[in-house]
Amino acid sequence: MVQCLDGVKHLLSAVVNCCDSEIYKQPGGLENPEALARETVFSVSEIEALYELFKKISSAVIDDGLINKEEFQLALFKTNKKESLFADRVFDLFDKKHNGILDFEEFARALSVFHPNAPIDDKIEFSFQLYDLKQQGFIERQEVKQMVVATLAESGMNLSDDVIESIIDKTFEEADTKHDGKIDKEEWRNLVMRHPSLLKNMTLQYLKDITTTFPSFVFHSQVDDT
Amino acid sequence: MESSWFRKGLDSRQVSTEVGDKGMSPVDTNVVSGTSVSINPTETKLDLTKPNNLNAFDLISLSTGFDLSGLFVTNDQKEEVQFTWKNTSSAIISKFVDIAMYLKFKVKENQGFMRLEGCNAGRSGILSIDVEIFEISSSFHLVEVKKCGGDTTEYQKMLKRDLRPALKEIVWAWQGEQQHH
Repeated sequence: MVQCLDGVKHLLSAVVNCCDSEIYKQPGGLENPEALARETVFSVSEIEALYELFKKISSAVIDDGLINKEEFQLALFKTNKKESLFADRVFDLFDKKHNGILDFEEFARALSVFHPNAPIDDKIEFSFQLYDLKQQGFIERQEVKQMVVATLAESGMNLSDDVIESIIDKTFEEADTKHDGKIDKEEWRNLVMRHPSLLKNMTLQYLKDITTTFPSFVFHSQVDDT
Repeated sequence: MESSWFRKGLDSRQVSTEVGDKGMSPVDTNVVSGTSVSINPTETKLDLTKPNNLNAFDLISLSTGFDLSGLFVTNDQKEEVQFTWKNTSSAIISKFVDIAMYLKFKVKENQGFMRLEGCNAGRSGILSIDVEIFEISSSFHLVEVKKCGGDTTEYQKMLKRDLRPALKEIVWAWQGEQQHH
């Protein structure tokens, strides 16, 4: 799926010249929202609205039309003082070009996965990659522990190591059906199908109302939303 | 959006009776407890296994870093709030029952899942909120409060004016907010 997106992206760049981030730096300079709308679950007006959000976030620290990690943290936590293992992971996954910044295309494509109408397979894929901290293609016990500990620390909860280990034991007992000490993509998918609540963070209902929350003032919008 | 984790079967039956015994004096017709309403029929099915069937990924998904709704709304505007509670689930339930009584809300409780319903219809119908309790250990719980029906502004007001102050002393931490411990 990821390769597929990359392939399409290359095609798109050739057609639209959109790898030149200059385009997004211009005020109101969202070129070709139709192309992005075609490649995501967003409608053209949703892309335009998303662009308003993007402009807001990307101008918070450095007004360059790009979101850096600090601006991302600021947008998420309303403070740039908060370091978070998870926010880092999310940022990295959004940052397909791996250049430490998010341009609008990366932003829109990634958020598309969180739309209520996005295919569940995309959500499963994204969440798997999110938890695969070392990006080895499987989720190891140690990675799960790291994330559990980080979550607890974040919320000021402290549980004894025993309790944590036992929680992880039970999770692996259920998830690791091949009994190899790791959770691969297939096992993850099965787990999630049994426990749909595990994907709840992968859907943002707010994306459905985005055109009202972030009205776009593009008067000559070529919108024909169906 | 289904969200039943491990519904600690162990306490829930016990809890029902406790609630039934405690705040529910016969005169108090505002409060209904027990299994009279199965709010989410599917939820009860999920709690089939032994207690403590806690999934590490459920825990991880609580992390605010994974919750991108922060991109769209501030904490104040979120429809869901979560907090952790260092006490038993029966203590939490009775606390909410107290609050409901004070606000003159109706309470329905079923296996760690409560619904509080107001009586006056606001602009968008009757305000109702869902409270779900998740067990992390027997004396450590996570409680999730979310609006189920009614006007969002009213809900926010109610959270701020009534719920938070009432829970202030006992909430261990509000998810997503600076910790002061």
